[in-house]
Amino acid sequence: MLAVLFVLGESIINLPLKNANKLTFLGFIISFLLSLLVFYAVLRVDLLKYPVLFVALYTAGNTFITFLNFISKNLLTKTQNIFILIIFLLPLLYFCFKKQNEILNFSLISGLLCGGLIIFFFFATFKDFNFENIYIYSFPNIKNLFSQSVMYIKSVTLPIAVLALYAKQIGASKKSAFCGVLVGNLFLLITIFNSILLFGTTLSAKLLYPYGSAISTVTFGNLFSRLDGFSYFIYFVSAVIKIAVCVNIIKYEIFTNKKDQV
Amino acid sequence: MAATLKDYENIFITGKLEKDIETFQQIFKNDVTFRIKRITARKGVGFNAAVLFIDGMVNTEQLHDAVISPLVEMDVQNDSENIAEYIERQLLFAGTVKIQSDLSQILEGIIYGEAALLVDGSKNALTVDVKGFKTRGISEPENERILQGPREGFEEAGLLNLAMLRRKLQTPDLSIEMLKMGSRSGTRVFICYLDTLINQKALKKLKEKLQKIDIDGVLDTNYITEQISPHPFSLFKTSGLTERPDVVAARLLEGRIAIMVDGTPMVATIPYLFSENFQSDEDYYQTFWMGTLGRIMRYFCFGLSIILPALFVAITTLHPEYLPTSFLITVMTLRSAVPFSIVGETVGMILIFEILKETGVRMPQNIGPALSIVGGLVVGQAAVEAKIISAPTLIIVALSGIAGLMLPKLRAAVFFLRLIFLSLSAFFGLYGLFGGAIMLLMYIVSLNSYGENAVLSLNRTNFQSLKDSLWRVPWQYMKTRPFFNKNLIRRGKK
Amino acid sequence: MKKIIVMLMLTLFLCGCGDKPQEYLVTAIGVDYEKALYTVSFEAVVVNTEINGQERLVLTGQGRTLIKAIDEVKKQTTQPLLLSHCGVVAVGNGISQQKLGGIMRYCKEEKDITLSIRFLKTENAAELLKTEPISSVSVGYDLMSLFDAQKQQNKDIKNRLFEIYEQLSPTLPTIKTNETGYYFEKY
Repeated sequence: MLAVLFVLGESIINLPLKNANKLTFLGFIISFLLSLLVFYAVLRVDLLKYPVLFVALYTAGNTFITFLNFISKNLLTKTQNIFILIIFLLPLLYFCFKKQNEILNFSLISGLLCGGLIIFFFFATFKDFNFENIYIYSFPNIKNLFSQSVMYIKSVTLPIAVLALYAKQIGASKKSAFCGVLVGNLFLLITIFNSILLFGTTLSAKLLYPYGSAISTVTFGNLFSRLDGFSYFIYFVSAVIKIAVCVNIIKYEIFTNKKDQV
Repeated sequence: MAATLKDYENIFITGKLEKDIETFQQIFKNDVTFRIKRITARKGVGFNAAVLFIDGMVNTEQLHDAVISPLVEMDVQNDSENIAEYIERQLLFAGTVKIQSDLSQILEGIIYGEAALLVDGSKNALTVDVKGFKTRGISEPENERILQGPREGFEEAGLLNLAMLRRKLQTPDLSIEMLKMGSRSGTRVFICYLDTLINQKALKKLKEKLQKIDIDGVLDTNYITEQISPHPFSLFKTSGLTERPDVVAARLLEGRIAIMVDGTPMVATIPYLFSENFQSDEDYYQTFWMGTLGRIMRYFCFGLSIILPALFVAITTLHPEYLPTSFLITVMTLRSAVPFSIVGETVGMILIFEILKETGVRMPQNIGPALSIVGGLVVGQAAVEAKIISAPTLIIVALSGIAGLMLPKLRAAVFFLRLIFLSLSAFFGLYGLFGGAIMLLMYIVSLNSYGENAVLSLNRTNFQSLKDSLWRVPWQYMKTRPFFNKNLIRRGKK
Repeated sequence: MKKIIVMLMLTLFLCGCGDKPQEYLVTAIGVDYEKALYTVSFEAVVVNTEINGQERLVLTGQGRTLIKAIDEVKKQTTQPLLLSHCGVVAVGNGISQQKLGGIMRYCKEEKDITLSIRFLKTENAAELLKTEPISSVSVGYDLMSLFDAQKQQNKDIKNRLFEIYEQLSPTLPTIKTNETGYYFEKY
């Protein structure tokens, strides 16, 4: 479940990306399959640890900024950024100083909640799906497909590489790490399908936060509408987990090296 | 006069009756309940003796029949220094008689309701168990009422409580160790466990912690549990408290340790998992459907009671777009004439609700119901009509308060968490609420109860570890004990 | 220390304290185009403490562009306009497909307006919004109820923003009014 939340991270906020077209979900799948090579490479080759550390640092920073931008533009538009930063830093610092098994326990519970919400929203919007939005009538253009796959490197490949290093550090089994990666990317694919099937690729690509917009169309009679508030919980949890894991990876490498030197 | 019994250790009685009587009179010179009954046995060799006891602590009939009468009427043929042993074996009709010479031990016996027999010429005294202090009697605990199941509850006498526990667990595996705690109170603390089930390391650690406690008096179990808790400032308890012998027996069968303090009916059990806050004894005495339903409702009510006021405040102040339009208009109309901010209104209502709740508990029974009607109907109704508070706020706070009453074990936690979430949502809306929820979840997951994770252990998560958590599976599927046990197998081959 | 804690607790009462501006809930938007001028109407519901109920009003503004017209509407009141509860956009006959695209683009960009807002066509949007509501507090609600009733009869009309956004020439239902209520002229 930690892997699931890590993969979701900040990617769930803005997928599908701006240049998406009808082949975007195929591009995502291809990107994921190629990333598995990276996954196994990082697990087996020790030297890859060093570039992945930089990737972890970049991932943490990117997630941090994406999430804060999202909150200041979408949720708390009138609040000063400094307060938003403080409220985000509090749980983040709290997480970074927690033990490994406590983070894993937390991920299990919150991951189940987030997964449940994603599946619930998918079925809640099911009645408005237009399946024509994903029909591919002719054989896909290879160049187009390639450009769509490359687009997802940041969202798919980089987190998988960082996760592989984390799994190696904590001694997790390859099988469980792989399952987590698979399920996490499956959830990401579900969120992409959610917005594409509802809005079509053109509109989804133009929207700033397509998944949030998709959920805001869910209504239950006149009682419940605009349930996108619940999606903010998923974003918050996955962003905090992603950054905390990246920080833990870097912390582990720094402190382990220092002990070796001493 | 010395303050504690320790000060009388290694001081022995002299064997000269008058001198010894004088010593005891000096010790109890300010105690009007201390009594001395002098006896002169004329039959046989004859001897002088004195019975020392505290009035109100002994059963005077038993004292007369078992001690005084035999001494006066029986033919004593032994005049040696071993007269005490002779009297103990051949004369007294009492069950428990101890031969003591140490002053502190004799004093301890007298203070605890025993009668001390001093014989002239003998350097040993006899302490006879003739306890007869009055107790409250076995009754159903007020705070743990159930519809179905046993109704007896512990009372203040430690030995009686141990007897009740023995009746539930009729096995020689039940071990009961005793410690004396409180330098002035000398309170007896009993540690009970099933020897083949518990973690011996945990027991050893517990005993070390208990011995380190330095306090002058222990009047309740909480005096001890707070001092040995790994999280003394935590909102959530790390040890369970109960007044029911069936609950203690069930927890001992799950490999826990019970701490019983003489003088209070509250018994603590450790380790204490977080899910136990949502368990009720009735879950196990009714069908598993009712048990599971009750369990799920308690979890739901916990979430509802701490989050509902905060969610209401967050949505109405900072995120009105999430409310259905008709409901939003209703709320805006009803709140339009109220002079206070919604946060102030909600906090005020929560505090009033808590005041009414506390008052209801402490009021005499004949005034309590009337006061509830005054508080609930009159104050609430009048305040809404006078537009001091709005009806939606009153409903939200009342709903949250009633949901909180489903969880008596989490009263303090619910109250404080409600206020914390309220302040987070007042300043930061849904964002603050979710941030707080995430931190709370992380905090709960990292709770530790005497070396064991209070929520779950990921490497031991399987169906059996979850069988008694959010739900309660039927008894035939309850095959194992909780994960911290030495012996996990509850049924079949052990 | 105690004083600091008391002060911090008192700040809780300050949130939303004082005269919080009465928000206007916009329930319907009407857009007309005539004589090279956009006429934008916002139908809003506001709480009236004197009658202890709600009051409906229609704010109208004109401008050469859509944005200018909307700004004119917003200038008509000092109170904030809450667009998140707007369920219907009525466009007049003078709005061409190209201009409709502009309106849809505005609704998409506006953060508060959801993508499930419904579009409909009418002869004169401003006139439609100014008519007296029949069964609820505003015309916007009446129209939303009409669409909900259609949905319950499994005759859901695909006129929500995300359903028509990518269409080159979307067909919108036309609404007319009579003494009894609203009806679809053609669809």
